[in-house]
This record gives sequence, structure tokens and C-alpha cells, in this order.
Amino acid sequence: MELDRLFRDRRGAIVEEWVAALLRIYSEEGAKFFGSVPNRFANPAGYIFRTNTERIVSKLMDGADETECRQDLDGILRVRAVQGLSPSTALCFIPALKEILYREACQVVSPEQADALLHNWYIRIDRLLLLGFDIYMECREILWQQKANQLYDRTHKLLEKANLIQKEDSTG
Amino acid sequence: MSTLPRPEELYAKINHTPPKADWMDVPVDIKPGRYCYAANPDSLNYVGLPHARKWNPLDEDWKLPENWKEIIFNGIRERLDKYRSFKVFMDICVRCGACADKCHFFIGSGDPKNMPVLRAELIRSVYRGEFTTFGKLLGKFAGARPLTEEVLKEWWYYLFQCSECRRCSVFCPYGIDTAEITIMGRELINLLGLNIDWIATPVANCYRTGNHLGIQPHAFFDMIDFFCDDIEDITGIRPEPQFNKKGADILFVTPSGDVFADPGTYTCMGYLILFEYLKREYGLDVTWSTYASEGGNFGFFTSHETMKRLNSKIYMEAARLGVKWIIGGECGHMWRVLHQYMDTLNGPEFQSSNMTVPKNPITGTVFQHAASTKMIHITEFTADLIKHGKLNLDKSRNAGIHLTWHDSCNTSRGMGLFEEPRYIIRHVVDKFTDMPPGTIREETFCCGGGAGLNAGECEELRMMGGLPRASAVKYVHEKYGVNMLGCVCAIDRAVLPGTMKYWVPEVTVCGLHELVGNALVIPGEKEREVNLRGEDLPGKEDE
Repeated sequence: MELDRLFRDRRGAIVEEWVAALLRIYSEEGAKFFGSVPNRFANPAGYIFRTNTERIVSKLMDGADETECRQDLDGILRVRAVQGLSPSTALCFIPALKEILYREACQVVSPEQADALLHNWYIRIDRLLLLGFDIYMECREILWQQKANQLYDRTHKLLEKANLIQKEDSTG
Repeated sequence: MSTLPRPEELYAKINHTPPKADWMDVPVDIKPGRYCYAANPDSLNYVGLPHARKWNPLDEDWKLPENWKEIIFNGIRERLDKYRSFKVFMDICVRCGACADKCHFFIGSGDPKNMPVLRAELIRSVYRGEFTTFGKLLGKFAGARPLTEEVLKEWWYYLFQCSECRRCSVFCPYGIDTAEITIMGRELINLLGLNIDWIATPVANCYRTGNHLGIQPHAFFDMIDFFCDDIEDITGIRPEPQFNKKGADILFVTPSGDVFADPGTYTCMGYLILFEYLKREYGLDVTWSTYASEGGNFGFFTSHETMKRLNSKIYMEAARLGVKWIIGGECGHMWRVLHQYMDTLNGPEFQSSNMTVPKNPITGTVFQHAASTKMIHITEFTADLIKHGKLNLDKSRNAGIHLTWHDSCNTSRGMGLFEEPRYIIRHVVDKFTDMPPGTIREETFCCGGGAGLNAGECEELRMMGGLPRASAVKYVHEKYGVNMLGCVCAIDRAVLPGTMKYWVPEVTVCGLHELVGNALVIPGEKEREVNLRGEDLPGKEDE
């Protein structure tokens, strides 16, 4: 299909635009840092943002199922889930891909045709967004669970040390 | 379909892009998850810190004393006179940016005010505006600004997003130690009672009871006794540690986290096994103290005065017991205070005349580098024992472990402790892989919870700041199969398990002497089936 070939030819540009959309939420200095040529140890967030978006775009273009993007999306959202962002801010880069593809498509077909031809892409991106919500919530739940466990462990241990916990007698 | 609004139109009213503005014009936005709760006034009162009151960082009114500006200006003036480092650091930064991308909190957040240069600039701008003619005349053009309540809140928020790890200082061509600026800044805001509870209450507890949690001597004893029960179950040998023994040769002081929090408790069991072994084999005479029961110095995070008072407790106890010298456990901040501040805070004349330059009675090694402090790190002690063939170690008990090593900030950049831990590791573990250069030794990344930032309420901050460390751990886990992260700091042992659960859940955390305790063969011990965590030893799973 013509659009798919166009997207494959323009893969690099599409990734660049998507990374730019991903970085738009940060301050000028933050976006510059995350967007610089990333060293995976000196700039792990920038590295994850860049490499994972590249992989997601490639997988989607190769016709992979959205769920195969889970690990890459997880990498990005795991960072954003601890950056003090609202859920919509953390995830807003995902629907931005629709607009990026639409603009690309409009270079070769009319806007009406573009929307029609991109119908399946829109559905896949929506699914990716839903998957993103699941991942974001999982990350947040780990944090809350850790807080709850810390409190539980602290209280339980003190009670245990003070011999105030009656254990069930397994021998009946 | 064409009549439907475009995706961009749909999202047009939701603006996620921050406005472009000069950093001075971006108001502070105090976010839950990134700040610690205000100090309990009782804790401040206990140690005589000023302006104790209840206040909430999220409230508009922080209930500042009426003359708060005067207090701050006098405080700055006093410190500029007293500390040459502060004066120099205020004046010589050329804003080259070498430090900008070296802070783990900036690397994780992208928040420019977490760049060390800009965090320091929060204070420098006020210094220029209020204390330099140039700044007074040219104002913002000279990078100067007046002190306002808004600026003060910004100070508070960002000074407690610095873990004083000093990684930035390694990269500064002028040698500016930005942690020193944070320390001064915290001293200044603490003059207004703007402390956080995770520092103030441990300080009060430590000053009163002897440790951060305020655990009383009998409970401290009970906990150690509890570990001795476990060690007896595992090895068949019951350690008989000495407490508050007058006339003992050596005092042992470790962070209380080792006594009260997993996985530090397993490290503590390692110390107990080591000292029991040395007592039985060589007659080593070590005592624990239930009064100086804290190595970590949280006074360091409030003011030089509280740092001095908490440090002095260890040496007063050493004098009371009449010991010759001190071994310190696996701690971070204790060592920074000891190596970089103690001599000018309390000085050698503060020590009892009974104290001598540490000399290992088993090997004869004299630890000349500790001639003034009379205190050595336990890894220096253990490495020396191994070097002289004094320990019988069975590495196979740690065969299930593939270790990597987290150089803790304070022992690395504060005292240069790089080789001793690795030397011990090579003798207690077969599989060891260092993380890549740039992430270890003097360039090591902070755990994200140092300098009093390990409170439950700022976990997001720690996860964000822990990303660079976790990223290097993830790399060696995926490439080499590393499954354990070792360290010599109680804060690391408290912070990193949570960080690993979030970023690299396959990796767990341990102290070095947990591994020593596993490997050390005590004469007459029974064949061990489990390690100090009660997990089956390799090869014993099916028995």
C-alpha cells in the first residue's frame, strides 16, 4: 500500500517528529537534554525515549500487534510515571502520532483520503494509548504498593518482636 | 469522517507544553511526591533549633517569623565571614555548565532547577542582589534578584531535592562543591524553622537516645540478641557480643539501619559472625554500645552545629568505655563527616587520651591514615584480615549470587574507598561484574535518598533520581546476569531495594558483610543449609 511505503521511507522523519512530541512537555533545558544524542548511562531517560520510540515506530510499520510494543512503551512510561506529570501529560505523545502520520499522508493524498486510509492506523494508535494507560497505572500502583508495604512491614515487625501476634497453630 | 474534528483540534485545549520563560520567572510548583513533610516542632525544640512550629509546605502561609529576611541576611553574612568555601563558591562560578547534566535528579526529571549550577544560582542570585554592588546596580542583568517569600519557597523545595552526593563537584573545573552550597542553604532556611521531619526527628532521637529511631538501649540489645538466635539456628554457633564493655580494645559503631531494617539486618548478622570468629580465633575484644548506637550523622543535613554534637557522642562514648580505637560499620554519611569535617569540628584534642592510632592486633597493620580520627571503616579492617590470610572463607555459599557494586557516594567521593570493598568481594563471591565506567567509583550515581531524602512521602523523587543508577544496574543484569547489588551504606540499603523493585525487579540489594558472614567458616560450625536470609544455599535446595 502506498501510504505504508511512504511511512517506511519517511521512518526517520516520523521518529524525529514523535520524539519532539514526546519532549514537548518538558522545559526548554529538559527537552534539550533528553533530546541530545543520548548516552545510555549519562542520559538514560533520553536514551530510552529515543531508542524505544524508534522501536515502536518500526514495529508498527512492520505490522506488529500493538501488544508487541508493550516493553518499549513500558520503558518510556516508567520514566514519565515518576516525573510528577499528570496521566494525560505522561501519555499525550501517543495520540500525537496520529497527527504526525496524517501530515505525512497529506503530502501524497488529499486530507479526506488521508483520514480514510489512516483509519486502521488510528485504531492501532488508540489501542496503544489504552495499553499506555494500563502501563502507567501499573507503575503508579508499584509506588503505592511499596508505600503500603513499608507501613505494613514497620507495624507488623514491631508487633512480631513484641510477641503480640498470635500465629495459627498449623497442627490444629 | 472529514466532518469530525482532527486529533490536534481535540487536544488543542489541553496544553502540556510549559511556557518559555527565564528561570527566575518560573514560579515554584511544590509537587506531592517530591517534597518531605515539615519537621515536628517537638523535635526541633529538643535540640534547640529555632522557630519550631507546625506548618505545611502546601499552604500559602508558612508562618515565617516577622523578621525572616533579616535572619537570612544575617545568616548569609555570618557564613560568608566564617566559611571561605562559601564565599569563594558564591563568587567564582562562571556558569560553564560542566555540572549541569551530572545530577541524578536533573538526569531523571529534566527540571532545570535541579541542575547543580542552577540550584546554586537560586542562592547566588540573592547573594548578588543583596550583597554585591554590581548586582544591586544591574539587578537581573547581573543575574541578581531580591529575596522574596516565593524565592524562599523555591530554596526550600530545591535544597531538599539535592542529596549532597557531590557527583557534580567531580566535574567542576573550578572545584566548586555544590553540596557545600546546599549545606549552607539548608542551614539558612533552618534558621527560620523550615526543616523536614525525616531529618529533624532522627536528629532529636539520635541526640537523646542514641539512634535515629529512638530505640532504647534494651530494645537495641534485644534486636542484636534476635540476630544471634538466627545465627545460632543457621550455624550452630551462638555469637556472644559484648555491650558497653569498659576497657574493651575496640568500639564498634554502625548505622542503626543495620539493626532495624532489612536488608541491613543481614549485614549486621555478618558483623556479628565476623567478630565472633575473631574473638574465638584471635581473642579480638570488641564492644557494641547501646548509647552511641548510630553511625549515620543526620546532623550533617541541618547544620554544622548539630553535625558536631552528634559526632561528639561517638567519641564521648569511646572515652567513657576507655577503648583504644573505633571500627565503623557500613555507613555513608558517618564517613563523610569523619573524613571531611570532624577534625575541624571536634578536633583530635576532643578525643580521650586513651585512644591510639588504630592498629589491627591480629595482623599488626597500623592504619596511619586514621591517625587523627582513630576510626577505620570495617571494609578496611576486613580487607586487611583477608590480605593476611586470617579468615577462612567459603565462596561457594554465595554461588547463587552474581554481584555488581554500587560505590556509595560518601565513602567514594568522601573517602576514596574503592579498592577495599572490591578486594573483599573477590574473596567472598565468584561472580562479580562492575557497572560501566562513568557510573562507578568517583563518578558513581547516588541512590537518590541521601541527605535526608528517604522519607516515604518523596518516593517519586527517589525513583526519578534513582534512574541513572538503575539504568547501569539494568545493563549488567541484562548483559551479564547480575542479580545482586552490593553497597556499604545504610541509606543505600534502605533506598535501593525499592528502586530496584521499580526499575530492575530481578535484582536485590545486600551489604558487603552479609556476603562475608555467609562465606566465613566459624570453627566448629554445623554444615549450613541456608544463607543469612534463610534461603537455601546453592546445592541444598532439594535436600
